[in-house]
Amino acid sequence: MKAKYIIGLIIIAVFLAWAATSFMSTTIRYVSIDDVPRSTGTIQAMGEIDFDRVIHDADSGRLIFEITGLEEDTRDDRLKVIYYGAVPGNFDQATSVVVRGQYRDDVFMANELLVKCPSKYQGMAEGT
Amino acid sequence: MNPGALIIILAGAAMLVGIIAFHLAANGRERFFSLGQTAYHYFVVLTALASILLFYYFLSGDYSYRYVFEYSSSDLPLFYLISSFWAGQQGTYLLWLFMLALLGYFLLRRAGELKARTMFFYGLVNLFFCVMLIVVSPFEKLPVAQLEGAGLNPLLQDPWMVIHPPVIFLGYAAVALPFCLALAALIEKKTDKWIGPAFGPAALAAVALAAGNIMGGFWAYKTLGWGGYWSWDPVENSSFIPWMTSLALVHGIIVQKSKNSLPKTNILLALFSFLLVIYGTFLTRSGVLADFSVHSFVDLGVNQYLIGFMILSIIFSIGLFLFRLRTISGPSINLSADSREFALVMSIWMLSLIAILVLAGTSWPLLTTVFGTPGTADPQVYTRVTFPLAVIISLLLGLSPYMLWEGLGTVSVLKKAIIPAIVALILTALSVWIGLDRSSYVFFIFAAAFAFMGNLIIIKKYLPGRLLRAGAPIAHLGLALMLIGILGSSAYSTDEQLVLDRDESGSAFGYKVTYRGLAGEITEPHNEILLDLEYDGQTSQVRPQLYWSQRLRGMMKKPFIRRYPAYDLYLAPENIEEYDQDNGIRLIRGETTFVDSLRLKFIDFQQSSHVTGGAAEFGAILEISRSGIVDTLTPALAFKTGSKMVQIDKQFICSDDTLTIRLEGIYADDAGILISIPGITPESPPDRLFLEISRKPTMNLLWGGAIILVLGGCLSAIRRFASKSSVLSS
Repeated sequence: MKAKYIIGLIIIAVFLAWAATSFMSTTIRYVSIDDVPRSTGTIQAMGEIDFDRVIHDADSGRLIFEITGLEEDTRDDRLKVIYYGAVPGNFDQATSVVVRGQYRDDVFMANELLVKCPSKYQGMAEGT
Repeated sequence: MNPGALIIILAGAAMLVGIIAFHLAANGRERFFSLGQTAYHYFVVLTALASILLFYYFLSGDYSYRYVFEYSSSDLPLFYLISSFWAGQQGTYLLWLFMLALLGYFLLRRAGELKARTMFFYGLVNLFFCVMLIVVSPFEKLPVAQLEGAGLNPLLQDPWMVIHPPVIFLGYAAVALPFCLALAALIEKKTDKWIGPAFGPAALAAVALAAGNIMGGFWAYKTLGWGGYWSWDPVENSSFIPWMTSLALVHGIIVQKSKNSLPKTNILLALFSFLLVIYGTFLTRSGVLADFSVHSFVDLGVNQYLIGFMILSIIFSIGLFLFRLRTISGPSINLSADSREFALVMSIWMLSLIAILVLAGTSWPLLTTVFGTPGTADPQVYTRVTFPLAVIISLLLGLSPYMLWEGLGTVSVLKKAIIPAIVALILTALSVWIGLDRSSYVFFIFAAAFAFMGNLIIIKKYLPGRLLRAGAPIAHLGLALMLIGILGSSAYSTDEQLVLDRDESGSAFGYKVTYRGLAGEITEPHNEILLDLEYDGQTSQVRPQLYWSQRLRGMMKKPFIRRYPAYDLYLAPENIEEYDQDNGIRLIRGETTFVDSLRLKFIDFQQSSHVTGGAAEFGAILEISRSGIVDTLTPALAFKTGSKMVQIDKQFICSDDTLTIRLEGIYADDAGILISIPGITPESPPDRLFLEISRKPTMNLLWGGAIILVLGGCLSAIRRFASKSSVLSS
């Protein structure tokens, strides 16, 4: 009986270790804007959109914009972002935006845009 | 103080009296139990009254209440006023309390010798929600009463949002019953006495959370238009995790009832199911995940209460468990591989592991913040780590009908499983022939098909006649179908993006789609996109929705879904882009151009001198010629203070045609103009549509399986409620 327990525990431990490494290797780190150029892999960063420098090239489906940091010490840091895909409908009203993607050749190539908008209401109740 | 707020305070006070009375009754002064019971009746009546009152305020449109103002409006159909009730946090706490209040009667009647102690703890849980409702009251008055409400989130205006929240909160409330029973059992050192009364509520919790999660997924699929039904979002996960643990508890209770083993496991599962519901509420409502999710979680100022209650519950319940650990003992479990006990213990492990993994993923932003750089778990990792567990669960499900308590011997179990295994192999081979192409998927489909066949055979044995007994195999069969549906629809979904100008057609998967425009304005709630969908020579008009919601500050996209037996066709509009409407020909002063056999020369500007009533006119002198006919025309723009700009068109009459020459704009910086000639200068369409069109196979298996799972679960729960606590089930 004891042996079965031990085998079972070993299997579970190995499984959990594998799961933990899976979680760690796919973690999408949150990086502040000034640290983005030093980061590799898929990361996400949050910033404020500089609406004076938004270029939307509808034909290639490319959205190019710059974001600045939200914190006191990153307010002057700028990050150029290129995003392919449909522009989120609430982009124009975004207070801040989370970009998820990779930093390559001085540009942040975003695969995903999460737009945060001011809303005095709660988003949704349950079950979204 | 308004009536609603007063009623909540009175309900809390009644519950407080009840708590004291139940405490006294549990400590030897039994005569106080009837006082506690009376106080509880008052508490339930007051809670019901508060709920009715809030609903009445919604029905009567009393916008002097902030909650009514924020979540409804007078144009809302009656049906959706029901969903307004639980559209915000305050209302969901009241709904939660209402469900708790009702379920308490079960404990009063069925908790047996633990009832006083159990009701004491249950009273504390109820009291906590009363306090929450006092802190964030749905009955808060606005400083100034409003005449009209702000309306309901358009996404919640859906029949599923009328029924989904009560079901979820029924499940949340139900997990509190095993929790309080387990605490009472720990205090009283009677860890064999609580599982009887806990069986029904645990089964209810498991089936309500199953139904709630599935409804939530279905709602997301047909309303949100991102193409899926489950995104491993914190809000979803926080009701998925207690579903897994309460399901594990149900299986654990089955073992303990028959074999008396697993007493510690079951107590832990009962404790954690409740603690995880509270933890999930904390994660999704306190704002701790605000940086990591698109959902705007709002802290309404209840954080300290929520965190305080959570920490107290964890310390007290886990502390009590550890303190009593040495007094709890049961026979060791029978781990021979052919026994039902082994199968059930394995299932508990699998369900608990899934709960642990999803819990870790959901808490990942917090964990990583503690240990270094914050980050989120990639949603795909959930699928990856739970995949092998789903395969093992399926294999167990297929074998379980042959694994009896006494054990038939491993060889004879495997022998009996040969027929379902062979059928499953044939089904798997068919799937490979259809297109199943990865070895891990082949394993998965085989395991799920095996689970389906094994349970189908056993259901046939029970039916007709012993329907309630068939509950578990029916639920297991439904789960097997669901798993096949999940794999098919997620791994083999194909999609294409079409970008269509107005009246332009595009094709995907043999369907021809033509974009015909909008039914209304994009800012109108539930505005529809008009599409012609052509397939196999038949054309029909379909209307997915796309509209800007000012309330949610976002584009809402409700897909059009057409169901076929083997797949769903899913058309989700993503966005509409309007073209700039400055169509025409740019000319600078002195320039000559040719368009469509027409010669056009822009000679000079002409600023009109006749200024009547503050109007100014800017004209462009044009020399136009076509096949020998020459004319000089001066189309112009007239500006009048206080009114819109007016275009003054000119007609060019040539041999067979009359053309309208229109000045569209003047550019001061390069002395240029923009000229349009309808029928001659190119006209761009007004807008274009980004449309995602996808083909999602086996969706019917997924939803069909889900319905069977919930029905089987209901049968099972009814059986557990119906059986008296002392009756052993086998």
